[in-house]
Parts: sequence; C-alpha cells; structure tokens
Amino acid sequence: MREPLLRVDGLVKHFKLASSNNLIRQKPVVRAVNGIAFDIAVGETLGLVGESGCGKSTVGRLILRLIEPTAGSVRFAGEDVLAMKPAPLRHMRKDMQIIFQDPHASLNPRLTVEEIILEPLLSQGARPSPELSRHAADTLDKVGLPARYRHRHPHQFSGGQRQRIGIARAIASNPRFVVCDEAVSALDVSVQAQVVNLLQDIKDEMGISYLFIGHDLAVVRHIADRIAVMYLGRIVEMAGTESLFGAPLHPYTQALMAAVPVHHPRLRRERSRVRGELPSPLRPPPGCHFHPRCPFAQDKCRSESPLLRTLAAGHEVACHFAEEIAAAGRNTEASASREATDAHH
Amino acid sequence: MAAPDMLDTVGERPGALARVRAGAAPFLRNRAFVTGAVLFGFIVFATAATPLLTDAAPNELSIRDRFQPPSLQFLLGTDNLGRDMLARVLYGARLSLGIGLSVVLINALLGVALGALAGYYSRLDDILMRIADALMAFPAVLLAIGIAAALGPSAVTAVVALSVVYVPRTARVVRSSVLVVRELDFVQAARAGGATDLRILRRHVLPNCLAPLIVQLSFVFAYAVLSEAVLSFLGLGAPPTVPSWGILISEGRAYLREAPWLTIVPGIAIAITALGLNLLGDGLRDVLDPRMKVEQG
Repeated sequence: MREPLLRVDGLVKHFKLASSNNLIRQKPVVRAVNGIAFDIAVGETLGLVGESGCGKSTVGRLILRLIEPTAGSVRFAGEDVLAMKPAPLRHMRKDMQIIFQDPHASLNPRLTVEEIILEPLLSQGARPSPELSRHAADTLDKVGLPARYRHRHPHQFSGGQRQRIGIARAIASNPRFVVCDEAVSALDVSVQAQVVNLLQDIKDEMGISYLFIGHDLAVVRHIADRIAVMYLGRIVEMAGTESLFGAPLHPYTQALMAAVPVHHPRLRRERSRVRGELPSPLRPPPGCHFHPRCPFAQDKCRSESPLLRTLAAGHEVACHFAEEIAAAGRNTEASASREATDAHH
Repeated sequence: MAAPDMLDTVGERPGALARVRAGAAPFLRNRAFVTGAVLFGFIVFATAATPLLTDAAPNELSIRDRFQPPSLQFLLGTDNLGRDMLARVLYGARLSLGIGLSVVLINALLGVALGALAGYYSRLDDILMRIADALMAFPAVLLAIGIAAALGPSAVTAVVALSVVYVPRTARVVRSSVLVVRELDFVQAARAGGATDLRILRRHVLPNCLAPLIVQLSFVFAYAVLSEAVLSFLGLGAPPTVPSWGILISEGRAYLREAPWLTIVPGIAIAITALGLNLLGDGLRDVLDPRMKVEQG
C-alpha cells in the first residue's frame, strides 16, 4: 500500500498546569490528547468530531506543530514532522495550512486582504511583485470574493467573507493538506452551507486533503470521507462516513447521533441516553473514559481501557461490548421506525 | 464611509501629489491630531527659532529691571535678577524638550524591545519582569534621585535616571499587550504560514500593541519633563546656568506671591507641550488604526 499523505501515530499532549504552590514539584497535568492515531490519504477528508474540550482542536495544532506534542509521531509525505529543524519546518509549512474557527480573530486587523493572503508566501521569502498581486486576486476569485476587495481591511467584511479570506490565505501557498479547525462553526447556517461547498470545490480542484474538525455531525457528514469520534483525548470510533452513520458502534457515537435534532416530532427518538457532563481531563476516569456516562457500562469498563479494534472493514471502535450494543441498538431502532410508520397511518 | 469605488481602483496608479493628499487626509480629519500638532508644532518652532524671536540672552543680569511684570519691553517679565523670562523659557525649552524626547526615544527602543521579549518568550518573562518589579518597587522620583546622585549632576544623568525609571513601566505596558495579541489566531496563522519569530513580532504582534504604547509614550514625555524639573530643583539635573523649565519653576517658586509669572510662564510651557503631545498621541493612535477609518470617512 502507498504511504498515506499524513500518518499520525501515538500522539500525546499533556499540558502541565501552573501549580498554586511552587514548592510542590508535582504539577497537575491535563491529558488533552492521549494516544491518537490515524492516516489521511491524498485527497481524502477525515472528519474529527467530539464535544468541546475533548482535544480535537489540539490534535490539529499538534499536527502542524503550532504546539509541541509530548509524545508520538507525525509523518507528512514521508517526512517526520516532529523531528524537523526550524528552517526546513518553516519551508514545509506552505504544504500544511490551517483555517480557524473565529473569522474575527484569525485576520490581522492592520493588514490589507492582499497582505493577509500573501503573508504565507512572503514569510517564505517571496518578494512583493505584480505577479504576486495577481496571484492574490486569483486566489480571492477562487474563494468567491471580487479581486477589487484586495486593498480593504478585514473589518470591512462580514463573518462569511472573512472566513473566505481565511480560506484564501490557507490555499494561497498551494498546500496539500489543510486543517479546518471548526471552520464553519462560527457562521450563520445559511453561510455555513456556502462555505462548506466552497471547501468541497477547492478540494476537488486542488486535490487537497482535509482534517475537518467540527462538532456539528450534519456538516461533517456532508464533507468527510471518513470520520473519527473523539472522547476525552482518545478516538473511540473511526469509520467511513456512511458506515458510521449507518451503524454507529460506540455508545458515545450513538448518543451523539441521538442528539442531532430531528424535525418531525413523530420521528423523534428517545433523548440522549448519556448522563452527566464531560469528566475533567485532569482526572480522567479509569478504564474506559466513557464508563461513568455509559448506559451499558459493566465492571470490565471500569478497570480495563478498551483499544481501538476493527469490527467491520475499515470500521474501528474502542468498546468492550460493541457487538452486543450494536445488536441491541438495531432492535430498538427497528421497533422505533415501526412505531413511526404506525403513527403515520 | 468612503465610497467603495474610491477604494477599489485596480491597476491605475494615482499621481504623486494625489497620493500624498490621500495619505494626509485621515490625519487632517482627526481633530485631536491637528490640535496636538499645532500646539506641539508651536513649541518646537519656538525652540528652533529662538534667536529670531528674542535678542535677549537668557543669563544676562539687569538688577535695575528685576521683577518686571510682563510688558512691551519684557513680554513675559523678568526674574529676581532681572533676566528676561521670554529668553529663559525659550532657551530652557531646548533642554526640557531634549531630555523629554531622549527619554521617550530610549523608552520606545528599550521598553518595546524588552516588553516584546518578555511577552513573547515566556522563558525570559520571569527574569525580565522580576528585574522590572525590583526597579518599580522604588517610588519613581526617589529612584531617579538616587541614580542621579550616584552619577553626578548633568543633563545626561537626568536622561539616564529617567530612562531607568520609565523603561520598566513601558516594558510592562508592551508586555501585557503582547501577551494578549500573541494568543490571537492570526498570530498562529502567521506561524502556520512559516513566519519567523522576528517577522511575527514585527508584522503581527507589535503593530497591534501600538495603541497603549503611543498613550504610554506621550505620558512618559510629560512625566520626563516634570521629573527633570524635580531633579533640577534638587540640584541633580543640568547645572543652573542652563535654564530648564524645571529650574525656572523651582527658582520662581520663592517669589510666587510677588511675581507669579515666574512660575506660571514655564508652567504653561510645560502644560502646552504635554497637552499637545497627548493629543498628538491620541490622534496618531486613532489614525493608525484601520478600524477607525470607516467611522471618520
């Protein structure tokens, strides 16, 4: 098999918190990312979903080395990103870009749109020139903004337009891989759809691979080829989009999907069976991190941490009882849809 | 808001004169900037053109004319030794402005550099800020007096002493802004684009820390002029033969009741300078902020 474009293995990030007492050496540690592994092929989009605070944004930043990982490896196009010296790393950054969530914080208010878009190229040593200006205009055109806007400042644009500028900056250096860190979460629903479609078009045109981080399953489903579900710093389930939505195996994934609003009141299923809040990543529960909230938890779940294992082709799940739960889920699902059809008559 | 068509000329290059006019327009539209420029410009002009404005020498004694109130002969009156106050205030401006501007310049260079380093590199932060804490633990005037006393009285001493006092304060202001700005996404974006630390600081972080810095520097100038007066008053600034505004005030203080113009005149000079610079700073801050253009345009 060909080596994938990006291969992440055993990625770990522990944030040491400042202790209130400096005499105590043992500082509290937040286990934001705890052994993440996945591949992304050329032209593939991997969705990464999970609740706020599960560490999904940290994963994106670790891959780009905007934060230094505690352990693990990141290989991009065959090169070990984490071992790179500063100069080659800077050079490689034009191949890996990022789109941020908040379009108001992600654009430097002092620069013009053209300067913002060209900044990655100028950082790499390009000199301002008429060709570069034309490139900026072309890139603006690609993201659906008129080229004549290029001398304006960010504050003169709406949120959706700003996000397009952020996308233009990310693709200006012709990257092969882009991290979309909640790239549409801050936008109005109508604008969201436009921006998601834009990202899709750009991907098709330029052959970019995405790591699409988000919490809105409907949006991620639309754009992702495969989806990884994260919970408290670990991937609990990873599968092709259709396979994951067709037959979610992990109780957490099932709960996430049950939380997606259903429009027709008769079709509404039982509300999320997940109780309680996300536990503190300072003291994650022993065994399976999800067991305190899991309706199926057994003794084994409290002591033994489940590993990701492949159930169906390309469908991985980290749950001791995935088979049993899936079987039970199919039964209730079937009876629920039967009830719904009955109600229609 | 400016008409979009004017902003959106593509390809055409306006002529040099038009470009200068377009560049100056936002400055001229800003009332604070214009007022400040007029006030401060007046002081600078008077300082530069002193020999044209008065024939009198600042240290020429004339005991017969002592304590003359302002008149046609002595526009701003005379002091206890009959010296012409107009000449003394004008010549004194050289020293006061020189010391103030030197301190501001040193603050702008050292304070910004140290503040940027401390704010951007958390390793340096602890060391630099503990040193700053130590210096700031002393009352400003006391520290300046101590340093000036150790170095011996001269104008250079006053500049050094006031810089030691105010650089940590400027560094503090810059550091706190850098701490905020460096966490913003556009700084992360710059790093993700492959920018070096120096480029990130120069192009992304520091320009967005400009507003509090400009305010701080105009504040430092006003305080440097005033503190120089304190040092001179204590005999730690320039020698008394050179009349700085601070010396004029401290000398006139003894005759406050009989000849109030001796303190009022240099006092007004300091007030105009400080006010002018503060307005200039505020205006500059607003004009340089691209977000303000729309509201005014």
